[in-house]
Order: sequence, then C-alpha cells, then structure tokens
Amino acid sequence: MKGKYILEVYSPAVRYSLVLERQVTVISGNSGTGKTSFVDSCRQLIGNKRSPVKSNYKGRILVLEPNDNYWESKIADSKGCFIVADEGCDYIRYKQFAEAVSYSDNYFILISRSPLHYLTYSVRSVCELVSNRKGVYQFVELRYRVSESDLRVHVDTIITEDSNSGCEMYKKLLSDSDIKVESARGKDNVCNYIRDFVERFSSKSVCSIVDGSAFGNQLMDYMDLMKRYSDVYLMAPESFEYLLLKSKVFRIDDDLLEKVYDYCDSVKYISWEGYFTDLLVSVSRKYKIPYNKGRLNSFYLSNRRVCEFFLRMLSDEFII
Amino acid sequence: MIKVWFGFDGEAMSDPSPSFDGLCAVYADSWFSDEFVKKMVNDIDRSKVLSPRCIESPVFGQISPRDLSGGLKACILLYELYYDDDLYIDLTACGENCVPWLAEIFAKRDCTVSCSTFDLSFKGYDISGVCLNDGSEIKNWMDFSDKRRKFIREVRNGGLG
Repeated sequence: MKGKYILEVYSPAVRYSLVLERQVTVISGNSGTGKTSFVDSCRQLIGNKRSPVKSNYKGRILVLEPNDNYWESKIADSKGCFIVADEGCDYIRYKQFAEAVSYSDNYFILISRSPLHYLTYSVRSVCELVSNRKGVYQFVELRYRVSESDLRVHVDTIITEDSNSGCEMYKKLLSDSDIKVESARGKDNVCNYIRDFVERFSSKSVCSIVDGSAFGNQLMDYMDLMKRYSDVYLMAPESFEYLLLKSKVFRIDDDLLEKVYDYCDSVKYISWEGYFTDLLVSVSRKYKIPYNKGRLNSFYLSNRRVCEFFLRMLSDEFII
Repeated sequence: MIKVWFGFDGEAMSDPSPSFDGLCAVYADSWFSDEFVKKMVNDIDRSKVLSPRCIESPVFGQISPRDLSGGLKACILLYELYYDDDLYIDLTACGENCVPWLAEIFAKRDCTVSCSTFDLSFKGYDISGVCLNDGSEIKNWMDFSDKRRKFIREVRNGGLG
C-alpha cells in the first residue's frame, strides 16, 4: 500500500481527520485526548450500517481486538486496509506482529505509549491527538511528538547511529572544529551510549544524529533521556542517504523525495529508510559513482556540493 | 510508595477498562463521591462529575463513567483499590497528564504496578519505592528513569516483548 490519505471519521460530536502517509502510525500522548474514542468510532463505523459514525474512506477499516486469536490471518488476508489496534492489544508488542506488519499491503494505526521494539517506524510516525472546538464539533488531528527546533545549540560531541558512511562523513566535515564525532554502532545502542557518555562527561553537551525513518521505536526512550539530562539533543533527518540525495549531487525528480508516500510501497519496504537507500544506490550507479553503505565512496567526502549541503545543515542546528 | 516492575509483563493490565467497567457497577457511588476522584476527573479528562453515574464531558455531553479515559480509570483504580492484590496495572495506560496525580497517589498509597512505557516522566516530583526487578530502592525520579531504561531493555532482551 502506498499513498497519502486523509482519513476522516466523524461522529455526531467529534470529527477525526488523520493524515497518514507512512505504513505505521503510532498514537500516544496524554490521557483523555480521544485515542480510545477514535478506536470506538472505527468499531461503530464498521459494525453497524446505521451507525451515526461515518467516514470519507470507502476502503476497508479493520479494528483488531485484544483477545482476537486470529489477528495474524486477518492481517495476512487484508489488502489496502487501515488496520487499527488499541493499547489493550498486547500482541502489537510481539515479534510476530512486527513480522505480520512488515511488507503487508496495509496501513496501521496503533495506539501505544510503550515502544514497539520489533517494529520499524519513523520518529514522524509517533504522533499524538490534538483537538480544538469549531462550533458544535470537536476537530481532532495528528501532531508529531517531536518538533523541529529552531534553536541553534552548542554541542561538544556528535554521536552517529552508524559506524560507516554517516560517521565517516561527519568526522571529515568536522575535522577542523572542536566537535568530536563518535559512533554508537547501531540504532539500538544509541540511548545506552548517550547515557554512558553523559555519566562520564557530565559537563559536555551531546547530540545524536539518527536515521529518523527507522528510529521511532527508540524515540520515547531518547526523549526520556533528554528530560533526564540537560544538554542532550537529537537530530533525526530521514536518513543519511536521504541527505545525500537532497544535496542535489544527482539530478532526480523532486517528487521522489518530497512525495515519498507515492513511491514507497509497504509491500516492498518496511520503512522509508530502505527506499532512500535503494534510490541512492540506483541513481549513483547511473552516474558511475556507486554508493556503498559500508564504505563511503571518496567522491562524496570530497564533492563540494555535498560538503556544502551537509555543513549548511549542521550550522543550521549547531554553533560550529 | 510505589513497587514497580519495569518491562512488559503479560499479567499486567495495559488497558484497565474491562476491570474498571466491571467494578464501577459496584463501587461508582463511593468512588465518584470522593473529592480527590472528582478533581482527577476534572483535570485529566476536563470533565465534571454530575452524579456518581453521570459525567459531563465537554465533547460528548453527559457520559457514563465507563466512557472516561483509560489513564483516568487507571488512576481511580490505583487510588481506590490499592489494597487489592489482584490490581496490577501497567503505567502505559497513563499519559503525562496523569503524572501529578500518580505522584500524589503513590505518596498516599502503597501501589504495585508495572511500567513498560518511557512516555511518563516523574521529573520534579517526589517519588520513591522499590524496583521489583532487582529489589533495589528507588530514591527519586532520576533513579526511576535510570532503572526503567536498564530493565525495560533487559526484559525485552529476555524475549518478553
């Protein structure tokens, strides 16, 4: 399934309008914002033709129930469907659920404050519901849990998620600055690495640069670290490959990066990260400058356009 | 005081609604006459208790206590039935706006809970208790945060989700 959808579900009192452009959307946030009411509205919508709840979506909406033993086959048998699950469905945390979601031809709306460790999803998949009253209706929409900060901060150290191409690039770019670059050697290590770092160097400020497209299941842990320690920051561009493509070192159709939802099919990719990597690999091959995630081609490290793009991005965020 | 198991525990209630809804039929009169509960309803769900079986919601109008949010239901159960050994709630049911109330409940009552969420910080609140994963003392909110990070990871690596 691919595409951007505005899923509207409206009951006599509340109008939900959810913009969905990724396979997985995880809704968390404060109590009393309407998460369970949204699931109940979906339930009423599909369970009763005379229900006062209506939707603009003409396809199928499926609500998974907590004690449903057949959730795996229901997912496998669905296609082009919005699948909704509330927090009470404990199995959404299981590896089997992540396997059922991966490469499935459906979009998933999951209500959960707990990290779904086995699922791959974006930091921009992690949302909360916000509402405001217009006349007699309550309008409810999605909002990202992470917001882009326009504050430039001073950091002493940058931690990259990967130890290969991304780390190499930032090391090269910041070799003349006071900022140190280290690698956490993997997404799952980032939070522990940061914690150990601030425990060792409490006076130093640190920022992680992660692949936002796939860091969603670590996000709440990281945000807790940011509350626990001052001077811990996060930068979450879609991915390193996305940044290389954005640097315009290759001529590509802007839509491939701006309307990813129209190209990234959930049947082929479990997150946008894989899509950007495949796109970069295929474009760079055409230009005879093959991109290799394991070891960065020296062309990228020395190309003026690439370096200027990355430096501009870093100086927008950090005092270099 | 709080006794907390960090990590996902299949025995814990991540959705307190079924228990709350069942027990509410019996206890609604006493629960919703309590001023502390009325204040929680007002603050967490921005609603008003009109009578023990009728709540005024700013969105839905008059609703039953069964239609309250999961986080509020968890807070009410922890406050009212803290002595019940069968009451074992995962704090993942509670949002950040429940934190001031949870901190007050844990100061007044001895509650045993699990916690599989990072989406809840007690920063700035007095919180103390026991970490059931290793029996160690939780001295403050930073301790809570550190032990949570350590044990949620350990429990997950042990294959429990």
